[in-house]
Amino acid sequence: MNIMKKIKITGNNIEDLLINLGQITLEVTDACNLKCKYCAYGDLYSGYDVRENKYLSFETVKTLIDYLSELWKSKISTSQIPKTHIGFYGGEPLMNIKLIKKTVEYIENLNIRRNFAFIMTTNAMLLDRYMNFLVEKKFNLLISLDGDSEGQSYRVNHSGRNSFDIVYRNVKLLQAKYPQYFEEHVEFNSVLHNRNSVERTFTFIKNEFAKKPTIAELNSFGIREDKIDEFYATYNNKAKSLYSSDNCDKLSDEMFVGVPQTKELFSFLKYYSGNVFVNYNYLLFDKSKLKYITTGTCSPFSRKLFLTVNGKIIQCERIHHSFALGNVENGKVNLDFEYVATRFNAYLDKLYKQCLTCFRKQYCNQCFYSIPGIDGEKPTCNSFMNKEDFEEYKMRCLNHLNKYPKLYKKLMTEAFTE
Amino acid sequence: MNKKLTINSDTFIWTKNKKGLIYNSQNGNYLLFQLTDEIEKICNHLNDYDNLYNIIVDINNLKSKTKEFVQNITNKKLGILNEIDKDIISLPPLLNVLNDIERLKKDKTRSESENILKYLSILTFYTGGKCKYSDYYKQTFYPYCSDIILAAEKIIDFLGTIESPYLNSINIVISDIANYSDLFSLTDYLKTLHRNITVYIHYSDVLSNINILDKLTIDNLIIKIICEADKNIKNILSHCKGKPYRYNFLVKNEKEYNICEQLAETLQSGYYTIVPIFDNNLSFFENNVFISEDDVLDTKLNKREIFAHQAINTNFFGLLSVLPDSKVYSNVNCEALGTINDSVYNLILKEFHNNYSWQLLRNQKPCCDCLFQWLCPSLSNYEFVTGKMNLCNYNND
Repeated sequence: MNIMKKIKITGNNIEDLLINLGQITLEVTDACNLKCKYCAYGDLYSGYDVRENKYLSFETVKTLIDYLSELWKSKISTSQIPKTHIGFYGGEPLMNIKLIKKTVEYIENLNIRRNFAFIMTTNAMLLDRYMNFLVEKKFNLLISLDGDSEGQSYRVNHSGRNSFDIVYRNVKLLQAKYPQYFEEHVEFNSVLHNRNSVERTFTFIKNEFAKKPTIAELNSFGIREDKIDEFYATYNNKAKSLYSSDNCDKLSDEMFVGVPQTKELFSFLKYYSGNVFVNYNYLLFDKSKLKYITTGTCSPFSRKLFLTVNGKIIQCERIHHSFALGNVENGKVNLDFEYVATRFNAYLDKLYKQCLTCFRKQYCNQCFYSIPGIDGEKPTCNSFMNKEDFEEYKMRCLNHLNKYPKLYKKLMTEAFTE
Repeated sequence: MNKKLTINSDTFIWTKNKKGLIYNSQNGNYLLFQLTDEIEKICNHLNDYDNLYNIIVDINNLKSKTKEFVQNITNKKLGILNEIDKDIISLPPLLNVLNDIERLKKDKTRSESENILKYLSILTFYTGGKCKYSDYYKQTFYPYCSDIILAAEKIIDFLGTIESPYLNSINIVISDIANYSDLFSLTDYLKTLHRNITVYIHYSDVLSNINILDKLTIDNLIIKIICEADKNIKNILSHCKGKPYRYNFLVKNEKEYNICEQLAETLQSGYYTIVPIFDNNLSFFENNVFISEDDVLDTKLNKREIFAHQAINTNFFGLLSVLPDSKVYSNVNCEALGTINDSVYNLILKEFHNNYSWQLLRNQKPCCDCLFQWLCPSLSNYEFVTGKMNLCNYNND
């Protein structure tokens, strides 16, 4: 029997997580050379700081890095040489290449026992100008491209012109000039909407660049009330799009866990089959007797730290800016570990009663920052499952497996996402 | 008449050398059977993961032995028979360790940045010192005799490099307690670590050092006295009456066992352990330590425990030992991983790369030919010291 115990995180936990921090994402600018219709910082959404074409200053970045470096030097981490990814995010990050170069140089000259790797999400509009630098520093690039010209047609410049030709040319140039780098360090991210489809997007990027893109639906959190109709006119459901394609089975096989149902099945197998273990330690004791935190929300800084262009410290770029946990201001990092823990625990407390009766409480996947009205008195979790809901979820997963039985072995031997 | 036979999810099917075992890890029910050609075909089909533990069987046209086999499966609740159009999904046991070591080995930067300290759970330090004990330290906690002494300072320095909540136990095995000068500075440090600390001392050292032991007891350390059956032991136990010591009774034959068992009657349950010691006494081991088929099947392992046997050595995983010469071992019967001056990360990484003991499985002869391969306990130190890889009475022929 699983026993749910009310446990809380502490300020010390927060400090430990920062010592072992795996990623710092820097919003180097909120300016962008594109004006994508569905942009999370665009007209359709609310819940972010107003975009003012700001550029993050090197002083702010340096203050944060110095602060973390001191912490890293003063404590022992749990790995031999910890690795931290430095992510550059925007806006379009390449519009602040000056800061990126300075930051990379500064980090490379830190006298610290830690490995760093650089990552960037880019629209590739400026890729032709800066690719030499990116290749030299072995940046892992995630290129946003929604497929062919029609698919890319929501990704327009400020005059409304489709960015496809420039992006396609730049990416092709990178592929031709640096084929090995391209193979090892470049991935694609595509947004699904009413002008493309899973099949067209996947096939285009696979044929043109020999890559399998990650295909994501439009972000459905934080939509402005007056834009809901517009949002749904643009929205395209990933599963629906996939299953309406002529090559559904072949495509599903290639996309593997990129298929929403397969991803859901893997998550189900991971948590409920009793066959999947995070690491070897879990083989040695009965996990059901362990205490666990009843939330799908990452503990602050367990995955990353996000620094906004305004100097706010948030635990992830996907979270509303009002959930800032601290900031960098006037050459100082203001981050109170106890406050961060207390605030996190307060949200847990708010949801505790719902969690208590939820059938998916032990393996929740709901980030509480995405629950509408989480700051209100009685927020309602939209992922709550009663017994019937849970049975339905279980049957949905097993029916998918019944339809594609070969997925079982494949998922159990080839899928490793934690 | 076609029926669908579905094996339960928590059930393992093993076949070896024309014999088979179906074992339900949820309730311990099992079926041992001879592998006829027809039964073998069924088992092979079921063991193909793509079939999700389902097979259509023509009940009326099965050979009698196969029919009996299917009936036994349903009678013992190892599986069920259903109409063929009924969709029943069963998930055959198939282990997936997300942070699998094989993937870690392939990626150097990942192995450096991986949180491998989490795997270290127990550290044992042998202080060494002048003594004339046997080399039983290769089998159990037992003093190690040496001219060199592992200084407290070295132990403290080494522990200072390990900041891990996963390290939950530290053992100190002392050979010559009276002459281990830094003992209290060591124990003062250890108690600040908030771990389970156990100090092992040989019974022959007890009477002359009872004051030291009393002081250690005040410090909330667990004192374990390693006892051997001789004429003094009764006297020592009576001196220790009322003290919160725990006892490991080492026995090499039935006579010693009986003596220790008698002495143990005066002790609180849970405060003593009887530890068999191999010392050219194979028949004692054959009669008392070797396990039988019944022992194995009576143990009732759950799926996680069987998976554990398939992936790690449950006796050795997570353990490091340091001998007085500062050498560090994952198992004192194997080669050293390095020394106390090396980084603990490198020591752990080396163990994963060389696999001296943490992942020593029963996957070699003769165990790999045995139906009970994964039900048997993991290899232990006894296998090392006896040189016999299967401590059992089971005959595979």
